[in-house]
Amino acid sequence: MENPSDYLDGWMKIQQQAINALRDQALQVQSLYQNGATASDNPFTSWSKSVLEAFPFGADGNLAKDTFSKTQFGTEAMQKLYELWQPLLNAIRDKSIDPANYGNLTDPTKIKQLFDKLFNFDFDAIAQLQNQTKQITDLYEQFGKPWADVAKTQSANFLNGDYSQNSLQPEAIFTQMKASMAMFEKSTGRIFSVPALGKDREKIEQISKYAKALSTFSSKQAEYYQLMQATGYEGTQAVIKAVAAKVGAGEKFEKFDDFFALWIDSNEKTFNKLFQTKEFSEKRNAMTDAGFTARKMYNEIIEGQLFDLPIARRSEMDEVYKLVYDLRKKVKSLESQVQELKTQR
Amino acid sequence: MNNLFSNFDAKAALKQLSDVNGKLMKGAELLTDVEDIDVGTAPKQLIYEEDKLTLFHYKPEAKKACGIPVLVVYALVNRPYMLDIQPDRSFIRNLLNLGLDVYIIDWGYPTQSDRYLSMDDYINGYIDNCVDAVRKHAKTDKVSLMGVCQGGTFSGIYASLHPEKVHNLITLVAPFDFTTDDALLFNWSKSMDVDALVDAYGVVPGSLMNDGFLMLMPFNLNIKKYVDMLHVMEDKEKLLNFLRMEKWIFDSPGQAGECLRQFVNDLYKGNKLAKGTLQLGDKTVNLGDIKMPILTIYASADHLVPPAATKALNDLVSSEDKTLYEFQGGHIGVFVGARSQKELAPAIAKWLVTRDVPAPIKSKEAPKKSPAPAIEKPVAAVTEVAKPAIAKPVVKKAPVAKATTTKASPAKATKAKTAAKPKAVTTNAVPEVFKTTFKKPAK
Repeated sequence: MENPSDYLDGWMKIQQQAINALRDQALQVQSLYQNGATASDNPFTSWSKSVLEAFPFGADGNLAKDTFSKTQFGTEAMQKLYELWQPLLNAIRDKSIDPANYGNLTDPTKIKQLFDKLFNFDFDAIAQLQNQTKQITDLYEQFGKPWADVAKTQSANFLNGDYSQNSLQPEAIFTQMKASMAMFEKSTGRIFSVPALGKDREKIEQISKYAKALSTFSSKQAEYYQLMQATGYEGTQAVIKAVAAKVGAGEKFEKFDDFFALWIDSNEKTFNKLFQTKEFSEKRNAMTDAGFTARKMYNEIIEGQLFDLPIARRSEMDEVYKLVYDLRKKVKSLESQVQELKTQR
Repeated sequence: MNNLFSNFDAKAALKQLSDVNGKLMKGAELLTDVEDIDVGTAPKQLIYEEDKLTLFHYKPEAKKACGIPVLVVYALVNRPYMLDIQPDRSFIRNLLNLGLDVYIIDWGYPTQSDRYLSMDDYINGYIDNCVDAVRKHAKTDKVSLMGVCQGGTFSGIYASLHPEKVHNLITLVAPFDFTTDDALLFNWSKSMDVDALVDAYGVVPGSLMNDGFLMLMPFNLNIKKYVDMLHVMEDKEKLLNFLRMEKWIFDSPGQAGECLRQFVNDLYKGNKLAKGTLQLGDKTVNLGDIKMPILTIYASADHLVPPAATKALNDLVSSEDKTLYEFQGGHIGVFVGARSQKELAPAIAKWLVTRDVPAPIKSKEAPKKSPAPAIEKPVAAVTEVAKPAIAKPVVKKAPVAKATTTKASPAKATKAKTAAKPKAVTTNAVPEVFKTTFKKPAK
């Protein structure tokens, strides 16, 4: 048995050794899978990349590949969790632990990274959405340049902001989304009150509505993310309390897996509690509904643009599908009648 | 001061970490070799197809214990091969080994051209046609319907609308009362704008539905499961078993928009099935029209379809012979768990055998689309005598002869007489499993 006070230092050294060993192994494996990897890549990354590219094509090959990626994610989450709780463990080792200050021993940035990954939160995606809005307005600015300029400026303002810094703070993003939405209302949103511009007015209106729908979606998405992040912090507090209770009761974790299990269980319960609330349902539905609305509008824009081209549009295909559906039913009914007549004979 | 990890041994910790890394590496090697993950391997024959749907007949594995064929109606969500996920964990193979004659509907993968398919099309169209196809293939008047999850709800609706074609009804973890708030899926569905969803997609992508299922337990399903998997990753067989389940979980067909719209609006939100106000085509569905024997199976720890939603069926039907079976486990465990293989499949087989009619009809002609009601009465008589039979050994089914005393028209009497022949009962060999002590399910 090692000296308990030296345990964590020992653990860190051991982990470092293991990572080095892993890298050595990775380099060996890399030589077996050279495709896609470059020498400048991090050995572990290039190893992963090479392995992923080595998977066979086909449905089940992709499944194996996906499973490997998810397993990697699972182990990464486990490692991140270890890093996240390292200060807490150090405090325990240094005997400087104070249950009242457990919360200060965890790094909110790391908690956020963990939850972002778990729920596929991607604040870059929100920026991309704004960028998409800008591209759309660029594309169609010939129809209404003055209004497109306003929208472009608004999107550019958003994108040129200190986004990377803000992305670490859900509240800041949320505030920015609100501001962005307000800017939109004051600029592009005004297009709805302008007089007729001619034959392309309908298209401009569609584009503007779509841009507005995208902004609404971004805003609702930010609200949803904020709620999930807040619950993530709540879950962390629940883990801290559980750890404190264990310390208080004089219990010990036999291995890191036990702590990992407690973390999973505690967070699952916290999120489950959230999922049961009306607030969660409302926020989630507001986000998805805004997404569906934006998607529907996008379809309408494409419809409008394809109108003069010799390409079947979605609405036309829907009519065909409906016709096929009705005909199928009719044919089946007739076949059934014929069969019945044959049987009667 | 306590040290939380004071029991740790540094060497053991190193071993733990290197074990994890080693397993990941070995697993990666094995995973790159995976090209084909075999599922649904029980031999079967295609007997009917319509649009995207295919109907299969499983090759019998044992001497027939039941004259009435069993038609399995799976849910539209995910794929039916879960019932035959691997040879040693196959609900279907178990039923076959117990002498049942099993058919199964595979709904296929809907595409945009199927967006207008409604619940009416699935139930009064596809299921009805499959029931007829099975009756024709098996040369019987009726089938036993075994519906799984949403397929169970469909089967219940079908049985209430076409009772003349259904001899027994078995539902497995199928919802009927949607008022319960015991499950997240129910709560979320009630507040979902399904109209916006369907209008946006037409055929709702399976991946979208799957994301919703994963959100029910995000930490366990997205992290813990894969960390746990590391422990089996080195073992090729265990890894393949894991991959089979993964294949099934993520093999999610899209949902025909109109059918999903009605299922969510009328059932999840309106609870119309339990209220008796569900409209399918020009018919109103009344579960009270179900009079045949029913076996309602629910899972005590079902996080998708809570017991309250499932058990309600027994209060809504008019059947005198109704059994409630509690399976100790979760929604998926009902089909792939070890207990399922050992207990549930034999219980179902026994329940069916004791409610079987002894011999199939002798007519070589295909059964009519809507058989004459004449055949209904004798079967009801058989049902009546078979009522307490779940605890009885099959060989004691001789009292079926009572059916012959039922006052019926000549046609009915002939039929009842056929049904009454104890000889037919003994002809059907009783599998050994039915002779062993069987624990009566909790009611």
